[in-house]
This record gives sequence, structure tokens and C-alpha cells, in this order.
Amino acid sequence: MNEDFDKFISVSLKNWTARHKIPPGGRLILLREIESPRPDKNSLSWKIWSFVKQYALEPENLQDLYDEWLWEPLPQSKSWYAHIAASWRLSH
Amino acid sequence: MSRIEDREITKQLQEGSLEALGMLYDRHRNLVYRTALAITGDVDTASDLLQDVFLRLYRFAERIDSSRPLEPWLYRMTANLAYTWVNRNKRWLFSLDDLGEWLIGAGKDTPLEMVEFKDDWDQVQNAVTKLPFPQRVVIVLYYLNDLPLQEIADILEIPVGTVKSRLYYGRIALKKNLGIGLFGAGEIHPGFNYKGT
Repeated sequence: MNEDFDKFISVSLKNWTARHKIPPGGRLILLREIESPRPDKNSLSWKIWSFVKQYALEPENLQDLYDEWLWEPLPQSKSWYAHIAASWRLSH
Repeated sequence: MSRIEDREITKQLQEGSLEALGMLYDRHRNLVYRTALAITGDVDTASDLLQDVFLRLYRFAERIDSSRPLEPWLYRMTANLAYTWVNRNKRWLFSLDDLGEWLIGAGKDTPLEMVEFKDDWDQVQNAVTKLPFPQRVVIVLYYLNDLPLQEIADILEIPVGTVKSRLYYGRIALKKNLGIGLFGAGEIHPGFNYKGT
């Protein structure tokens, strides 16, 4: 019975995790972060935030900005958005 | 073959090569991402942990023994960072649970909860994320990553007896969470398709 249970759990976990793909651009984002780690003002996040603040852009315009910087979709990362959102709140 | 290549790439990383980091990322990202995903049950958090693990690999490269396989280090770092994340979110999650119970009443197995589970895979993942963290990590390393007990013990730096104990109690808790006892002896789940098709 344990063998059936083990197989059930193992196959279910493998299939569930395989269903979720890694968001694109991870390697590029990683290397950019290392080249300009936060809170370095040369970091990508800081540059984007500065740009948003300078031109009083709406958060919706971040996609356009990001397209211009990386030519990739925005990272689907909670911490990244939290960082931008916190910066946004501080500036308003 | 793969081990030797990892060793050489890790040495390049220790010399500051970003290209080496990119190669290791491409090679091991699925291992880290899926492990983080299974432990946290959250795709956004898994993406963040994936980045964080490789950032730390770069920052702490000098401390890594390049003569040893890299995977155990990646598993350990993933588990440690996931532990930090789970602890940070515990209070928030509990309060959300309380709010949910208050909104829908004290009853379990409500229609809302029933439709949340699309299939067996979702039910298993949900049951795993309800386990206490120490059991959850052992369950994931054992069932998802197919690691032997001794290797799990080495990664988590705990005695192999503790691994066996966590696996034993983790199994019991999983069966309880999944309602496995409801089915006949030897039958895991009616109609479960092992191939996942």
C-alpha cells in the first residue's frame, strides 16, 4: 500500500510542478541584478522607478518602459512589484 | 560527466565569470524552481526564490567546495530561503485563514473549497503545503526530487533517523489531509491516472 501511495504522491508532485513553467527572462534579469545590485542607484529597478517618478507615469506604463530596457515581458515577481509599488507610494 | 562540468564551471564562477553563472542557471534552474514551487505552492514566490538562490550562488561562490556536487548546495539554499519565506508569511496566512473561516462559516469541505481542487495533482500539492515546514521539505526532496534518505540528511544537516521520522509523520499527515483512509486497502484514489494524461 505504501508503494501505491508513494507513487501517487511522487507522480502528482512532479506533474503539478511540471505544469508551471519558469517565467521568461530569468537569466537576463539575474545577470542585470548582479551587475547593478539594489539599492545601487544604477540598478535597473532604481532606474525604472526614477524614470516613473521623473515623468509622473502611471504604473501601467511600466510595461512600455520595461520593453524599452529589456525587450522582454515584465517579470512576474511579487518582490519586484512590491519594490516598485513601495517606491511609487513613497513618491506620491 | 555533468558533475565534472559543474566543477569546472563553478571554478570559473569563483573567478567572477557571469557567463559561468548563466550556464549554471540554465542547467539547474528547473531543479531550484520546482523545489521552491513544491515547498511554497506559490509560482511568484518560486520565481523570486529562483533568482535569490542564484544571486547567493554568485555572492558566496568562494565559499563553495567546487570538488563536491553543486546540487546539494542548491537544494539546501532553496530550502533555507523557502523556510525564511514561510516564516515571514505564516502570520499573514493564518490571519487570512481565520478571515476565510469567518466569511464562510466554520464548516469544512464547502462548495468553494471543492471547486478549488481541479484534480489530484492540485489536491496533493495543497496537502503538501499544509504540512509543517520540516516535514514538507523532506516530503518534497523525497517524492519530487527522488533523493535518497542519506542525501536528504546531508543536505538538511540532520541525522538520517530524523529524515525517516519526518517522512513517516509526513506520510500520515498527507494521508489524513487527502482523506486516503476513506478508500479501500491498497487503493489510493479511485480513477487516479499515474501517467497524468
